[in-house]
Amino acid sequence: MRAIIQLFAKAPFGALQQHMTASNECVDQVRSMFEAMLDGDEGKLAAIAKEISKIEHRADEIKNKIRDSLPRSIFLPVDRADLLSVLSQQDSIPDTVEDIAFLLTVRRTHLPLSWKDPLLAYVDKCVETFRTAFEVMSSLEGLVEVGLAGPEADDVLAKITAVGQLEWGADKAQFEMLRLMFDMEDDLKPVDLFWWSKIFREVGDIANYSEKTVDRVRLMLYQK
Amino acid sequence: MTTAFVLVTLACLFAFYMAWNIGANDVANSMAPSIGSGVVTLKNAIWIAAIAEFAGAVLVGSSVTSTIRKGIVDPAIFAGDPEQFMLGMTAALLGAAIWLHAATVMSLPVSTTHSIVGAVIGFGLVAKGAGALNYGTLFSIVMSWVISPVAGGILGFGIFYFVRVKILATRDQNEACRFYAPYILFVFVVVFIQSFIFKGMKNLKLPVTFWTVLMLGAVVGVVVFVGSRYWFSSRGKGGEGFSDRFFKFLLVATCGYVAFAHGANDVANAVGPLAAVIGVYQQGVVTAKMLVPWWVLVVGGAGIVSGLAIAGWKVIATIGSHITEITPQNGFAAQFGAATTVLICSQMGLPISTTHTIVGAVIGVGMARGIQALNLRVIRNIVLSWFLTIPFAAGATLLVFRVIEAFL
Repeated sequence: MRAIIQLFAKAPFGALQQHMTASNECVDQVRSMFEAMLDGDEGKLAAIAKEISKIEHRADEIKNKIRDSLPRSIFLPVDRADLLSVLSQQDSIPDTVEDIAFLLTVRRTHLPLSWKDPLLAYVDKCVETFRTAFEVMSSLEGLVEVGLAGPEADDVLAKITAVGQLEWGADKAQFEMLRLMFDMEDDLKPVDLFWWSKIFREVGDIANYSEKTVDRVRLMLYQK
Repeated sequence: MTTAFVLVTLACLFAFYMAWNIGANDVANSMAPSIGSGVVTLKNAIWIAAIAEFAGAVLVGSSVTSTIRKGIVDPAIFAGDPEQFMLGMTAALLGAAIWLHAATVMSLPVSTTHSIVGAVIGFGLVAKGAGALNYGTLFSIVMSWVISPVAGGILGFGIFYFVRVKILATRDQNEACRFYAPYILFVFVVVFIQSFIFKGMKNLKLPVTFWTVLMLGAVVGVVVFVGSRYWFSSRGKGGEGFSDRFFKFLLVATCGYVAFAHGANDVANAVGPLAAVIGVYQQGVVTAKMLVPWWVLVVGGAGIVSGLAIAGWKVIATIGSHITEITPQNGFAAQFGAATTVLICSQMGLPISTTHTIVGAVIGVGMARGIQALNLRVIRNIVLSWFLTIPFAAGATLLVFRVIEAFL
């Protein structure tokens, strides 16, 4: 009996979802960081950064556990290489949030108050892209249970397309944000300029990696 | 105390030990998908297994049994030496039981039938040499290594593929299940009746043919089809969780049936040689077919149930907490696929192993994308156990034979 039961290996899909949930907890904090900055509340900013680093570490542990549980002798309903590449893209999301927290806390960078609305709008667009990708990943385990096909798969594919569109919107918002920054480039210190362009890119990466993650899921669905 | 009496006593003990091992290892194997799915609780699984196995063993199990399973050795060649035959059967029981016990410890999925055949081969070799063996039987056993997993795999794949496309991957799984439930029940009833009469009660030698039973199954199937269709449609939509409930029901039914059929057939692996020893003791001659005294079946049934209760439940308990990947749907596909394969193959007279068939069916369901992750390394153990069973069971018997011979 044990021999037959050993045929059933620990499936990685639940853990993959757990990892994405940890990413979600990180991404949840991004807006609060910029709000704390706008309020000039450095204590709160530092506290959030510390929290993010903890969650990112937890996500790393989940990632390693998934990788350890997938030797080549495991037979999955999806391509193993695709699954590992989904995980790798997905793991870039908490990394990116940790980088943003690092950039915001390591240097006291001037944030012009006039940026408040466009900046938060830009952040929201990236977060929304992530949220839709999160929905895709949350339905993955159920999708595997029904054999990765049928109307549920069609719904997921439609959502993956939506993530692509949202990411495009986030790119446009990033363009606007950089424009706004260069409009007032004479009023800002060169180091502020340099630092903000780095920060904007990292914020945009939340949307980029969300899109890459679900693109790999699409590959997984079409390969079978 | 005569030598013969000592041998009969030993044979009783060893037969009980053999049955104990069948209960500890094989029973749980044949019920694995049902138990792993969590549909049957540990306590209920043991109750179902104990009652169904005991009923199968005592009620229909081998009231007339071949003394040597699958005719691997012709008993006629021992006609001039009944005492050696008694000694050999006693040794074969212990040899097969020792191998089964070792396989359980190493968690190798071995076939009990192949173990006892291997043990008898060992005895045949030591007593009469290589000429005593029936090589046709040996060949069909080797064939079954390929046939049982492949046939189980094909059926497991096919059944799960149907369930996935027609039920799981639809907009409303419960509604789709309600639509297809009567069709599934029809097939289930036909296979169940066919299987129950031929596999479950084949030892009763009912005066029926394959086709009459098929007709009977079809008639009952149509009644069930019409009745269930009316029942399901009169109660409106399938409703929340209908698909899960439906497949859970089928899984429990299949599970009870598999335990019954297992008890009916595999108890012979323990009581066949015992019956042979008792036959020689009572009549003084070697026979190929033997009427089994009822108390011998009780020894077998009690051995299976106590093995299950003392050692088997530990194995079953460890899986309950491990498995989350077996759903009512894929569990049914694997269990029913295996049960059907066993039916078809034993109709064709192939000595296939339930354990190997279940392994094949589980992999087949996995190939149809029904299981989230399969550990293919286990296949290595399985193939290993095929090749080891006959030589090791034979070797153990050979040793036991020499030891008992030295003491008598």
